[in-house]
Amino acid sequence: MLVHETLAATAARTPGLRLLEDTEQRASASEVAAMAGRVAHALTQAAAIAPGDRVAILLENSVAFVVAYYGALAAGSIAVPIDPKLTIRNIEWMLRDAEPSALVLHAAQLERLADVIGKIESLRVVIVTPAASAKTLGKARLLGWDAVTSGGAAAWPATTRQPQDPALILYTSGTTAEPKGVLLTHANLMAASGNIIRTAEINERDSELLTLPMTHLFGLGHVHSYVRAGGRLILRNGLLPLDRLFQTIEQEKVTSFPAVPASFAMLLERYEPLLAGAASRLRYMYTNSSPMPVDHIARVRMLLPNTRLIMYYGLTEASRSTFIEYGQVERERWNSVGPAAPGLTLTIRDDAGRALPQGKTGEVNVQGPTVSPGYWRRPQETAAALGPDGLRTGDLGRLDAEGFLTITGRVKDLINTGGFKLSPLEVEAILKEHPSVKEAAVAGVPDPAGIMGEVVAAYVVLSGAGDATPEVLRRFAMERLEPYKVPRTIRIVESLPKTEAGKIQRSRLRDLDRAAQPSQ
Amino acid sequence: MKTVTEQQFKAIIAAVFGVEPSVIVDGLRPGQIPAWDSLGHLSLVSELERSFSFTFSMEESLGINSVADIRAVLAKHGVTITPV
Repeated sequence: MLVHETLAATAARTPGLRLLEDTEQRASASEVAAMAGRVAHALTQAAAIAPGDRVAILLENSVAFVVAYYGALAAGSIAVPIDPKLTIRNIEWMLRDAEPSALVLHAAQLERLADVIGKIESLRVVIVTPAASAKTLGKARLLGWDAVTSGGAAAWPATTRQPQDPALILYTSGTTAEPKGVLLTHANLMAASGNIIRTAEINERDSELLTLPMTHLFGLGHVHSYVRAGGRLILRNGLLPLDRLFQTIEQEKVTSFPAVPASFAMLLERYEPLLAGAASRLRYMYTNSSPMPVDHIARVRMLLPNTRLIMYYGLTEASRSTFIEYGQVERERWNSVGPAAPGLTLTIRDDAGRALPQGKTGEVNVQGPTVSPGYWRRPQETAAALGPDGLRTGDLGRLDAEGFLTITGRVKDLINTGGFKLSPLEVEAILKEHPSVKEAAVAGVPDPAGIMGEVVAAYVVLSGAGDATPEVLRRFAMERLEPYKVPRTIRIVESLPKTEAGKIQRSRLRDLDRAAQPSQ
Repeated sequence: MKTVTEQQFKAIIAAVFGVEPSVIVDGLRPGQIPAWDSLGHLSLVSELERSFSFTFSMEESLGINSVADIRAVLAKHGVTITPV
């Protein structure tokens, strides 16, 4: 079965099911399927989408996002969700890399990005929500969302894709300054959603409050799972306003609320009584993206003793590699991320790729049906990450006698802040654009507040041109980076620690704190 | 009682969200600038607590849905914001 066929199956099984709702719209399973069919028709006819063409979706969490996504898949294309909150620079980079034939976005974003979109020569059609105010932009024809989804043929085009065909490109921070497009097939996504549904026993009586961005696999995986299982998805963009969040959980009888550990940390820190009161009906909560401190696990378990708290571990390239339900294992295991998900195999390997025995620490490798076939148009990176032993995750870990994986560190220089992963190289590249900066090095350091896991710290050597202060450099970074990438601290130093080959030693950057000038 | 100027008040919030102080107007709400998300909100509350030396109650923290709401909480805690 293909991903979009699950929507058709759910609509056929329970046409009246209230499948989706956002702050402006509610849609039953049959209505979502009909709208997705109309989007697919528009794409195949107006944009002449061919199998494997890309359709970029630049929308926030909304009914329109889900309809556009399933419509794109039904048209045989590869969906490319892009977070509208990204900087214009990053959005342009992704659009140029993906070369989409069609793009779906909100009118406000079209206004913000008109110059960029007009230069994307691959675009044949741009669908604008709620309506288009012009007929063309660059070479692309503009269509209005309301007109596309409200009338005409709702039957889906004949399926031309196979389970092993790519369904999705998700851009993720790698070890390079630019994001990489991770390819995921229909089979990858079906295997992952099958494991999510099976583990939490998601069913038609479940209502999930989804505040996670659907442009990331944590959130999008829950869309796949709920559309497939036939539960209700209440879509919001983030946790704010918090008073309404708690009201929604209580009034809508929400049974599931996935969140990253940083969000749980915030809720425990400030709003513990409200969480306990509003969330008492929750049947389960999923968490993912970064380790959850053991004391937070204990507090959630104590506050919500009847709620199953489930963690999964997995890169975008190997979604949901492990599952652990904290209430089902002894506390000594709460530092673990659990055993391999059904159908997957975990191995621990040394630098030469040799399998290590139980208890030894090495790089975590994942094999199985959720593992990506590679990166979009990046054969070298694909070859480096994927081999006969599966995906080299870049995470360090060890397995115990019962196959439980404990993550102990990272091989790759990635920073995980509040569940968002980023490459230090991207931040360094931005800082080095400032005329006063000669060298810059960036690392993840523990968040002193204990909320974000890591925060970004930058160390800068000035060129002598100008008199940049940490505050000036931070402002410069804020104007060019997404908020979570902006260094929390910037220290001006005399020199950076380097290897004999001249490579920055990130592990020694924190030694500079003692010798650095005061930071802001 | 603590007194700050309008300029200082806006500068505190602007620094948290990484925007120019001119962006900080009473009608500004979460989500209207990328940095004012849930974690940005937590940073904002922590920074206001640090700057004005009092602790927000849970209800006060929950009730901040605009810059105008911040003014109201500060006034309740005896903070005066002067025009200059």
